[in-house]
Amino acid sequence: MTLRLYLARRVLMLAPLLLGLSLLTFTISRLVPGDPVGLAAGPQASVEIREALRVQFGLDQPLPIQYLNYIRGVLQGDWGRSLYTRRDVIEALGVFFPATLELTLAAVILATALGVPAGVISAMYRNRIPDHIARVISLFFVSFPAFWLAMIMQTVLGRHAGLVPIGRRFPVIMTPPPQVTGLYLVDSLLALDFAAFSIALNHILVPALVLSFGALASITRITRASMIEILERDFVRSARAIGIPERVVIGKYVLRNAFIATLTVISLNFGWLMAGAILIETIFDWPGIGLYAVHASLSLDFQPIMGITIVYGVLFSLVNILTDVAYGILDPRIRYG
Amino acid sequence: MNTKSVTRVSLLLVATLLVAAAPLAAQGEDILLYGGNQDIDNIDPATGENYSINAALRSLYDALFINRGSDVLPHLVKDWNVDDAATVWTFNLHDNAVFHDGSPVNAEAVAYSFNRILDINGPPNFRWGNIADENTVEAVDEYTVRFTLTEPFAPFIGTLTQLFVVNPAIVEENRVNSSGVDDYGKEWMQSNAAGSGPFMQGRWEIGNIYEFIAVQDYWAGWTGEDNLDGFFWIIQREGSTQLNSLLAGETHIADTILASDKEQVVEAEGFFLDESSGLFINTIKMNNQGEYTSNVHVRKAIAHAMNYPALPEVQDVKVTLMPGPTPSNFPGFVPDLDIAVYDLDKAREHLAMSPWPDGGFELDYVYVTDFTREEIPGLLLLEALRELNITMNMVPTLWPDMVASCGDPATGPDLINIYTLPPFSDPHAHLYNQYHSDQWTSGAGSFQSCSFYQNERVDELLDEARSLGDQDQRMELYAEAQTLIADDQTSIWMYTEDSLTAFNDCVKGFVFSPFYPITVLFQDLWMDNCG
Repeated sequence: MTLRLYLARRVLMLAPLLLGLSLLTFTISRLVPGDPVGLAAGPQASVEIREALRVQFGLDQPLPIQYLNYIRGVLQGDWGRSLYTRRDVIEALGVFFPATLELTLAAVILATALGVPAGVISAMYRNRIPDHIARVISLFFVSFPAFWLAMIMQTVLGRHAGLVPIGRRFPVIMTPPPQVTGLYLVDSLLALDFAAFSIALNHILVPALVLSFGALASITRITRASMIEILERDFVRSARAIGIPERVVIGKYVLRNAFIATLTVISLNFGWLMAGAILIETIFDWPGIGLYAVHASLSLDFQPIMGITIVYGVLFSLVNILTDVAYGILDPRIRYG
Repeated sequence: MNTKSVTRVSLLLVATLLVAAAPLAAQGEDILLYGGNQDIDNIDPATGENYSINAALRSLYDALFINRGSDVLPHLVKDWNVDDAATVWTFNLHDNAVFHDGSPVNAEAVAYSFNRILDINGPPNFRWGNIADENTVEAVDEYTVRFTLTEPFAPFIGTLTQLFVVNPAIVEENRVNSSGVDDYGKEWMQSNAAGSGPFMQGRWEIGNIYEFIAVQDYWAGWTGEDNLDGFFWIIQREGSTQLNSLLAGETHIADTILASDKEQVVEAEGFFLDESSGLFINTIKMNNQGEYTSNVHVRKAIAHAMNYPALPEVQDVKVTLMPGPTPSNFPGFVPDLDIAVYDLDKAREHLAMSPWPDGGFELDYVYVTDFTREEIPGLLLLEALRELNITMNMVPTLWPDMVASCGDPATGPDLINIYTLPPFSDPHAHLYNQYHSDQWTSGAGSFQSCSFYQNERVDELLDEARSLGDQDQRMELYAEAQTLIADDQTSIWMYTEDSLTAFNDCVKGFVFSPFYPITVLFQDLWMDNCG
C-alpha cells in the first residue's frame, strides 16, 4: 500500500472513530447524576428560570434527539455553548487550544532535545559515571511531582532571582503578536518581531521545561535501552571493523535504528503531556485548554466536554498517523497496511 | 555550525531572555494589575451573576444604588420615596449621568434595563422575578422612575445595587444574535459593555485577561485623591502564583491569598494584607425531613457534638465563629440567642430524649470533593458522633451532584456542608432563601434551602417582615424568626470566613465591603508611586 493510500485510509477511519468517541462521551456526560442547569442558573433561580435554561440548551429533548442535534450542529460549525459561561465552545477552543498546543509542543521539543542526547550518552558510557548521572537525573524527574517542581522554579527563578516571569504567555501590559496560528512563538516570527519572540520564549521556557521533565526521563531511558540493544548488533561491529568513524556509526546507524522505539515514546508522551498540562497551566496562569476542561468537567458543562473530547480525539489520531508515517521514513523496511 | 557559533547564539539567547525578564511597568500611567481567582465569564447584567462578574459590572455600569463599605448609598438616584405599603417606589435620578457614548442615563434607560432583566429571566432575576412584572416599572418623566411592585417588598433598595443600567440604543443595535435570532442582545452583551460606569472595556481576552480603561470625566466623579487610569483583571487560579506575582511586582492586588501564605505578605516590605470579617457563611445543613434528622433532639445532639472552638485552629483560613443563624456583622443579627455549644454531655442528654437514645444509626455527611475546608468540620463531627454511637459516613461529592440532591427532601443528604453569601444587605436576603419553606416545597429546592426546614410561624414572620416598610418592626419580626430557627436547630452554624486580600503598599483608597468580600471597588482606588 502506498503512503498516500495509507494516509487516506487512516483519515477516513477517523470519522467512525470520532463518532464513537462523541457518542460515548455524550452518553456518559448525560447519564452521570447532577444538576448542571441548577448550578448554571444559580442558587436563587426559580423553577421557571431553570426550565427556561433547560429549553434554551435543548436539554428538554429526548437524549437521542439531543445527540443528533449536537452532531448536526458540529457538522455545521456550531459546537454549542457553555451552559455555565454561555460562550461558544468553538470560540473558546480557538482561544485556549493554541496555548496548550504551544506549551505541549515546546515541552516535547525540549524533552526530545535533551532526552535523546542524554540517552545516547548514557548508552555509550554504559555503567560509567555519565550513565549513572543521566539515570539519577531521570529518576529525579520521574519521582518529583511536576506541580512541586513548578512552584519551586517559579518561586526561585521568578520571584527571587527575577530571571523569568511568574507566569502567563505574554506580559499583560504588552500586546501579543498578531494572531495567525495562535502560537506566540510562531506568530512573532511570522511578524518578524524578534523582541516579541524573545519575550514569548522567556515566558514559555520554565513551564515547558517543567512539563517536559517526566517525558524527558522516559525518552532518556528508552533511548538508552534501545541504543544498548542496537550497539550489540552485528552490523554495528561490522561498521566499526571497516573503520567507519564512531560519530557516523552512532549518529547514522545506531541512533536511527534505535529511534523507532524513542519515537513511539515521544508520540505517547505528546498525549500525556497534553492531558497533563493542566497542573502546569494552573500554576503558570497559562490560559490553555486544560483549565477549560477541568472547569467544564467539574460543572458537568456538556458542550465544552464534548468539544474538548473531539479536539483531543482528532489530535491524538493525527499524532498517531504522523508517527506511523515517521516509522516508514526512519526504517524503509516498514510497510504500510 | 561550529562551537564558537553555538556559544555566540547561546549567549545572545540568554541575554535576550534576561532583557525580556526585566520587570515591566506601565509607562507613566496608573494601571493597576489585579490577580483575580475567577474568570469574568459574562458581562451582561441580565444573565451574569458571580463575584468576578459583579466586580466587572460595577466598573462598566452604574446602578441605582451602590455598596460602599457596609453602606448602601444612592448612586444614579438623587432622592426617592416609598409608600407605606412598601409597594410603590419612586426615584429621582441625577440629570448629569451619561453613557459612554454621551447619551443620557435617564428613566427610560432604567425602565428598559429592568424590563430586559425580567424578560430574559436569567439568574440575576431572582431578586425581582417574584415581586415584579412587565407593568412594574414606569418612566414618569425624563429623570423620574417609578416601580409599582406586585407585592410589598421592603428590602427593594438593597436589590437595586444590582440593577445595572444599560444603554438601550446600543442593546437594540445588537438585539439579533449571530444566528439571526432576536435574543434581546444576550449574545452581544455577554462580552460587550453598554454602560455608563467609571471604566470602559479595553482588551478582552477570554479566560485570560480583561482590561478596563478609566473614563477620566466620569459623570459621578472619583471619590479618592486620584483615580486609576485603568486596571487589568488577570486570572490567577493558584494561590501561590497570586502570592509570587504580587511579591515579584507583577501584580498590585492578590484576591485569594492562602492563610498559610499570609505571613509572607506581612513580612514582605512594601505590601499589606487586609483581613476583614466577610459574609461567606459556612453551615452544615441538617435535613429537617430526614429519617433521623427530622427529630429536633437528634439535631441538637449533633449540634452540641460539633467542636466549635477547634474550627479556627484547624481551618487554613481565618474564621469568625457564628453566634447563630446570622453573622454578627449583618443586619438583623440577634445577640444572645440560645445556640448549641460544644458539649458532649448535652449532646447525650438530647439524644436520650430522641427515639434513638443509644444512637446506633448512620448519617451521611456530604461535602465538595477535595475541598478540605468542608471536609475538616465533617471529620471533627465524625469523631464526636462516634462517642454518641452515631456512625457518620464522609461522602465527597461533585458540586453539581450536591446541587441536584438539594432539589428534594427525599434525595437531600442527612448533613451537607454549604457556603452561602447574602446577595444584598438585608435580613430577607439571608433568611428567606434558607428558611422559608416556599424555597423547597415548590419543587425548586436549592443548596441554600437544603435543610428543608418547615415552620409555619417562621414562614409567616418572613413573609410579613419582607412586606413591611417600618424597619424597626421588620427587625423585630426577623428576631423572632431567628429565635425559632435557633430553637429548631435547623442547621449547625459554624463560621464566616475572613477575607484575605493582599496589596502592594502603593495601592490606596481600599475600603472593605462585606458585600463583595473577595474583590474591591476599583473606582475608589488610586496608586501612589507604584513605579
